[in-house]
Amino acid sequence: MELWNNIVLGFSVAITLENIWYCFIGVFIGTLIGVLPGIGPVATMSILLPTTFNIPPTSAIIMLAGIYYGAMYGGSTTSILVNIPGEAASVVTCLDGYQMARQGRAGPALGIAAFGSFIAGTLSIIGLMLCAPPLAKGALRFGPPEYFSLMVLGLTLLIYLASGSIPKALMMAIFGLFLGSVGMDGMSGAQRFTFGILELIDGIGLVPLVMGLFGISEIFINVEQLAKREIFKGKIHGLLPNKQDWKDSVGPIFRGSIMGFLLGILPGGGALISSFVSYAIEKRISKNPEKFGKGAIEGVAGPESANNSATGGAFIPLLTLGIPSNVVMAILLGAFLIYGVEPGPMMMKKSPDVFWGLVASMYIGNAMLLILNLPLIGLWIQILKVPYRILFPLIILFCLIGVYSLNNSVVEILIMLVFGVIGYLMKKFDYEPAPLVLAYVIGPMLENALRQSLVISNGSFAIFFVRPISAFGIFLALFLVLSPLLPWMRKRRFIIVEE
Amino acid sequence: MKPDKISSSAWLIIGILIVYFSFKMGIGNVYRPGPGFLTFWSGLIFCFLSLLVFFRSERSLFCKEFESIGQIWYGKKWKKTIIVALAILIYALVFEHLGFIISTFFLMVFLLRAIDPVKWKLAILGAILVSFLSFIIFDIWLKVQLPHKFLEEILFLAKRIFF
Repeated sequence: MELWNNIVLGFSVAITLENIWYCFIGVFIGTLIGVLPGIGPVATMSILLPTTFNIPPTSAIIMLAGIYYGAMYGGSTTSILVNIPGEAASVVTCLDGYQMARQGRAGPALGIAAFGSFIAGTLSIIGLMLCAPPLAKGALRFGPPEYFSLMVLGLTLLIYLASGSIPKALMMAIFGLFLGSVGMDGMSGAQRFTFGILELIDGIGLVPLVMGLFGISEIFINVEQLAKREIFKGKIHGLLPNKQDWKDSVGPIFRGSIMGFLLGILPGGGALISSFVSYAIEKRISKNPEKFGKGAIEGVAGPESANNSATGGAFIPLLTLGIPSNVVMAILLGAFLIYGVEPGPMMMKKSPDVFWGLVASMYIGNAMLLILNLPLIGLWIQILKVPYRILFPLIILFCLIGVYSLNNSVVEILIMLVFGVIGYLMKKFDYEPAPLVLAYVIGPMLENALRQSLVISNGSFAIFFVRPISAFGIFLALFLVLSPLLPWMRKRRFIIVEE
Repeated sequence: MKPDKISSSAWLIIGILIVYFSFKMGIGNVYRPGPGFLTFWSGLIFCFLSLLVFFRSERSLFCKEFESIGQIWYGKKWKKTIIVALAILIYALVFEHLGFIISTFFLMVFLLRAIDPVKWKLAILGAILVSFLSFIIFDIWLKVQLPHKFLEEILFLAKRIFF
């Protein structure tokens, strides 16, 4: 009964003209940036964050969330028609989606991607609704040691699942912790690493950091290797998949939905990993694995469902524990705090309208995306034809306006530029930015939890090992960090990453 | 020289600086951790990891394809990256003095011509359109405060008269 009342509350918030409008704007922009290669949801949410300061918090969060799951829908279009993933999570869709397009089956590929995404998105929202309340209740019993160990575990999982070397990913996480500590210390009031720069007293802003690392650095990489895109020229007909297509896709869609949701909850899991895992599993259990890579519809239906389902799962740690599981959630956490809403176990009690309004808006957003993706496919193809040489000056301009508008300060632009250069060099030298950003966001929380735990335990680190949840988190994290020392584990991980 | 050797050396210097400044801030102790406590110990681990990457660079399973730093930029038009970075830097330095519209116009023309050139006519028309439209959308409509000079004041005046 309580759940029903909450759903009614959520829809009463989501179905206001204002929130429907912002939901539409969010999913529309999300689809747009999903379609366009070279700009992802992370950079877009950062660019748009300052423009949401004048709108109500619930509407702003609905819009930002819409960008995230909208991008997952849009990413498949580019993968299928251009063989370039619009989104990292759609990389695997290129394998069979583009082959289907070459065989004159672009319509069913786009259709099953949209329907699969819709079904998976809806299922994951149901999962979110059912799992979040009991988890939040359980989390009320967590103290600083539990939070500390869960955050350490989250970071470690992200590092372990990073595609490159573990020491490098670990270094980036530590560098992120350092960046997060810049500014005034919350416990002692001392200024740390500000070097007399006034703008750094409040710390390094999330927006310039993310825009630099993900937006500007991506442009730096792209301008040194401008390539012409080959866009699908055939006519797209029959967007509705036929009976056989549905028969082949039902299993992958449901398997992808469940797997995506579960992997989405895991820190560092998210949309990208779930799409790869879904593809690997579909190929492994298929009666005709040789069809994969040559236009198998299961290779589109499974991963596309998985990456959409993962978006719903990813909200669970953020909304119930206040711990972001990936970079997008880290930005959303930043946004929540700016709007004065504290995500975590108390969110459902303190801000039920925001929580349930967001969940209900995701239902509406998913339905909007189905409408946006199928009938408007012609529009997205036209947008795909905009050459990058015209696109990148616009992306730079939006980044500049977005970052300047935070504090009306040129220093923010310079910080963004510095992180753009750092991000560019990191990509060149094979360092991943995701652990850095996640550690930067949870760094201050992690440090507070550590220091509070040590004060509670009178300086004894045993506090992390005597409490069961905390001990589980710490031991698992230690195992993951030390596992590369075991030769068979190192080889196994390398094979997984290579695959 | 292997790319990992160069990058890890740079990170090692950063790590040493983190440790040094954290120590100066005050580490405290486990009973009363100071403001530099976490950064000091994490800085030490950072230095250790830098050394690990440095010495493991010869037999790393990852990033094997590059034998030297030159190979990373081989065949890439890296000068264009520097040009774009400089353009952003100059824009940041001048746009509070020139105003948003004029500085954005010059930035757009430059980027449209310098990297993968479009025709002059398209570059100029596009730059005019983008600079005025973005000012109207962000400053006038979304109320983002952008630097105002002569042209921006005229637009604002026009808005007051006509709307």
